[in-house]
Amino acid sequence: MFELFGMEFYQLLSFGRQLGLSVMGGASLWAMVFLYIAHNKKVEDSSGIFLTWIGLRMRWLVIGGGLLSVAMWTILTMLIPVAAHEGVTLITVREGVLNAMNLMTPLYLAIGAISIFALVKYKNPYVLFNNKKGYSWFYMVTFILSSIAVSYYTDLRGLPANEIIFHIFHGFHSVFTLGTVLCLDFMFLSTQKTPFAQKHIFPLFPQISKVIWVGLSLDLLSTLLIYPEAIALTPRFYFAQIVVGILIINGILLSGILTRRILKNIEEGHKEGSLKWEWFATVAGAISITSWSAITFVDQFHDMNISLEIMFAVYAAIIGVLIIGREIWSKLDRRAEEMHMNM
Amino acid sequence: MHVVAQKIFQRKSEVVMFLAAISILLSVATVALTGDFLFWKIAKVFYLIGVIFILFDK
Repeated sequence: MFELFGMEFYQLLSFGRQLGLSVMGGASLWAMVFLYIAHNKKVEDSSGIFLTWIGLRMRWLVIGGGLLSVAMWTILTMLIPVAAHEGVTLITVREGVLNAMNLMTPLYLAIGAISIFALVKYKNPYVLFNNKKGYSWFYMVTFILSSIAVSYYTDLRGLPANEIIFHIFHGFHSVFTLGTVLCLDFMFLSTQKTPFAQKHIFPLFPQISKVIWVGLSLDLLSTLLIYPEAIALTPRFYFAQIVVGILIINGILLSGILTRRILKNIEEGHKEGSLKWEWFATVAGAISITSWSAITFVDQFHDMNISLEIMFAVYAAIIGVLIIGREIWSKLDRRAEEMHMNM
Repeated sequence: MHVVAQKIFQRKSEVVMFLAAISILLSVATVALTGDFLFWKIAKVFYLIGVIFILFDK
């Protein structure tokens, strides 16, 4: 079976599953919130149009995340029985994951079915929500399904209460952190060329950031439940701790001074100086996404044996690639601009 | 220095979160050198206080 630097193939699949479910959960949560806020806006308030637009656009994140997680789950359930009993220390972990995946079979089938349904209905997204009452049955269902699936990543039966709470928080926090960070970035990129849309969507960012902070606290505080037994002083531990430190500083800047400056610029009309702040926000966004993904990634690989220097070199390289990628995206994505032109 | 810090951090929550981040980074050094987790625990306390401040931020 594939193994590289102490990382096993099933752990890589588990990371893909976690990533997909986090994006699905985060996008469902925020799309649901935006559609609800939009519904409660007065008819003459144009912000409702933008919130509905971004809420419906988020279904692509839900569909993408859902299909990714189902694909990873399918390979995991097909592969693990063959790979079992390879190493004494990993048997429990691998069997725990396998049992959880088997128990969650109906849930993953439902995620696959609802994702395909939304994909088939891509030309008519209005069937996904109740226009009269302002709630979306689709996002509600996908949020519940992804939250349960992401929290139950290992078999919790028979475990002590502290370990059960730790695992649930440890899994679920990804919806509030990684999933929400990716949604924020999606919104930032989707509205980069439409100052008018930014004016309605950016003021929500500080409130969204609060959920990310709460998500990180679920993870940080739940580690106290398993301290000190579960702590191993490996490069993986030091890497995760340093990245959390970077994340917090980056988060303070992104949800603090950068958001304040950008909002001020939007209110005053876009000036030359605002480009500089938007570029800083782009860098901070890239650091945020890479850091959350990196923490989630290393978390899956208990026996990873990569040095700290290499981990940070890869981390820095990914941040660089993301910054370049975002520049390319902002040049290629014309849909937001078209919507603005049609207003 | 003081003026720059005041421009960057305008809320109590930002200052407390900054202290949490510094404590985490310090804990990496102290854990590696002495195996002591004191700063790691202090960071969690700062973080918890910071989150409470953030939730009440307008």
